[in-house]
Amino acid sequence: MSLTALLQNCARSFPDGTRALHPTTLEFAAGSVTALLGPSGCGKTTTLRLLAGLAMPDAGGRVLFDGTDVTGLPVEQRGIGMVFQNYALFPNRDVAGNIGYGLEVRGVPKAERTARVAEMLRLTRLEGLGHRRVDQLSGGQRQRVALARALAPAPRLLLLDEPFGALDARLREALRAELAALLATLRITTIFVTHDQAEAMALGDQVVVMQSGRVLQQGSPRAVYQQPANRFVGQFVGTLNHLGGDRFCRPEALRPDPAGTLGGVVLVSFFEGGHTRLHLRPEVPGAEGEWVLNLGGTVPAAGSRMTLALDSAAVLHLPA
Amino acid sequence: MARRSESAGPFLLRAALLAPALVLLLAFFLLPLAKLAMLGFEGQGYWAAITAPRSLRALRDTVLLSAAVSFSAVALAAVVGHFLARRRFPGRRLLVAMLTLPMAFPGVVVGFLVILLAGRQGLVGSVTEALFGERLVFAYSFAGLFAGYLYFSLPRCIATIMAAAEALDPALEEAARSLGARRWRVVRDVILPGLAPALVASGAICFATAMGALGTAFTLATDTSVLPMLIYTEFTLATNLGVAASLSVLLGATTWVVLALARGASGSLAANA
Ligand SMILES: Nc1ncnc2c1ncn2[C@@H]1O[C@H](COP(=O)(O)OP(=O)(O)OP(=O)(O)O)[C@@H](O)[C@H]1O
Ligand SMILES: [Mg+2]
Repeated sequence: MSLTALLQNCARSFPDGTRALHPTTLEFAAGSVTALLGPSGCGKTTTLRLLAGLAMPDAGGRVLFDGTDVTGLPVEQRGIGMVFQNYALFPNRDVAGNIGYGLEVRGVPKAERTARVAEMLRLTRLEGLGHRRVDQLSGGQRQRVALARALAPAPRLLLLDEPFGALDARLREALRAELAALLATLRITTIFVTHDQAEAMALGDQVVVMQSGRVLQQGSPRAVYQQPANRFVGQFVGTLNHLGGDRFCRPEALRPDPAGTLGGVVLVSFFEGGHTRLHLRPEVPGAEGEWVLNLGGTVPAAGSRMTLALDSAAVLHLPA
Repeated sequence: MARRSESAGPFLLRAALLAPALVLLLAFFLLPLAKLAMLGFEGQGYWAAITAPRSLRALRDTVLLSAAVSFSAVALAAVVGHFLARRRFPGRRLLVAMLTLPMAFPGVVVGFLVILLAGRQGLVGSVTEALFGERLVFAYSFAGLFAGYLYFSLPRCIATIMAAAEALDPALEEAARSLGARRWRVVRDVILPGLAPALVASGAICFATAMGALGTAFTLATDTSVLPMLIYTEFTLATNLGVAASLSVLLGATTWVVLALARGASGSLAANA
């Protein structure tokens, strides 16, 4: 059903000399869900377009699907499904017309097409909206139409460019859970782009962290969080507290303890519902910046001094 | 109470603001039109002027010519406009600037250019004589008129359609392709529907301009007589004001009806798509 996708030594340069992607080799296992994570302009969309066949790698790069070289194959012949950043729904077609387009192009008979569209409408919880114009849909509904349209022809590789980018925070979370459930049942190899680390961790079996056209680390969300390859990755996928030198720790490695060896002064606290986020000025030689830790219950007032204990197994040694 | 005075205020204000526009409309548009329509009743009257074989032939030729020019210009401009909007190549800006140059030429100059191209001493003639031993001369025929009209219609159409093509979201074409659509499906399903409003609008302007064009036909002094030529002849040479007015009303009404029909057809097309 699903396929293994491989980018082999793929780079991408533009005529003006911009190197959007340095030579990169990445494997996406059959049935896995991968998040491409990184700051704006780091080459996420470029990587996705290389996989889709919407862009060509520089000479020397190859794209392989299940071991077959598809580098020269244009997008319309790759059999992929793609969800675009702004959804790119066809304004002159209704919801059903959008979802059925891929089947129409393939010459699927009308009756079969209608059945498949109905199935997709049900799967994406859009029942009853088949004849709605796409400009009469909410943002979340549009996103689901785009997903249904990409899935209708049963692609073996699903590519999503910031699928939740245009939605507000609450809706993002709801749709994220929905997509996770859908992907778990479909088992299609999926690669999605995001610059939201929480989204990448929640949805991906695998996270690829990128910066300035290079892959910094590839691994499970847990591995990337607990053993980041360097400071940038560590900071991008979570919060790092500097302990001096190349030593860092995550907020949860620090806990209030009167017998502790570390000290800090509370600068400010943010009540976030289940816990309170504290910012401290560390009183440890060599520690730069602020420390962050999350506490339940009552918290010390700003200006008060805290004694903290450190879980020494959780200390991270990170190169710059 | 408050509401009434509020609505009365803006009404008076609106009336006051509209007044100059109404006066202008009356003075420059409705009054001359009414006068023109009245003039048509002088002499032999509308029916006789319009049903004269000469008038009917001119009307038929004008409508056919204008329709042919509009379709060709829009089709060509769609290809060129979309290409220019999407591709970046050296000299593109210069090319776009040059394309708009003919917009400033009066019809007489366009007619002159057609003669230079396809007249008795024209470029086409010289080439065909060298190749086939026979001079091809079409400047003074329907084909010559067609070439001239196309020449002055194209830049306008290209400018309008290029603007519309630039506003088309390239992601729509990529989405269609990602779903398996080949080149012609993308053109049919995404590009043409996206450009449709611009195609209809530029086609309509093209048609109306061609219906009323005089200078080119005048310069080419062809065997085909178009309606504006006939009006000109009746007015200046025969000083037959009644006939000239009747034919003018005929020209205006025909153009209006054709454009209304085209708009209706494209509207229902868009609704069905
Ligand atoms: N047509 C182009 N010509 C020149 N440079 C380009 C072009 N398209 C993209 N780039 C550059 O390539 C780099 C990578 O772009 P890309 O779109 O892959 O970033 P991204 O990671 O998707 O960013 P974002 O999160 O903002 O979408 C950027 O520095 C961008 O400026
Ligand atoms: Mg992007």
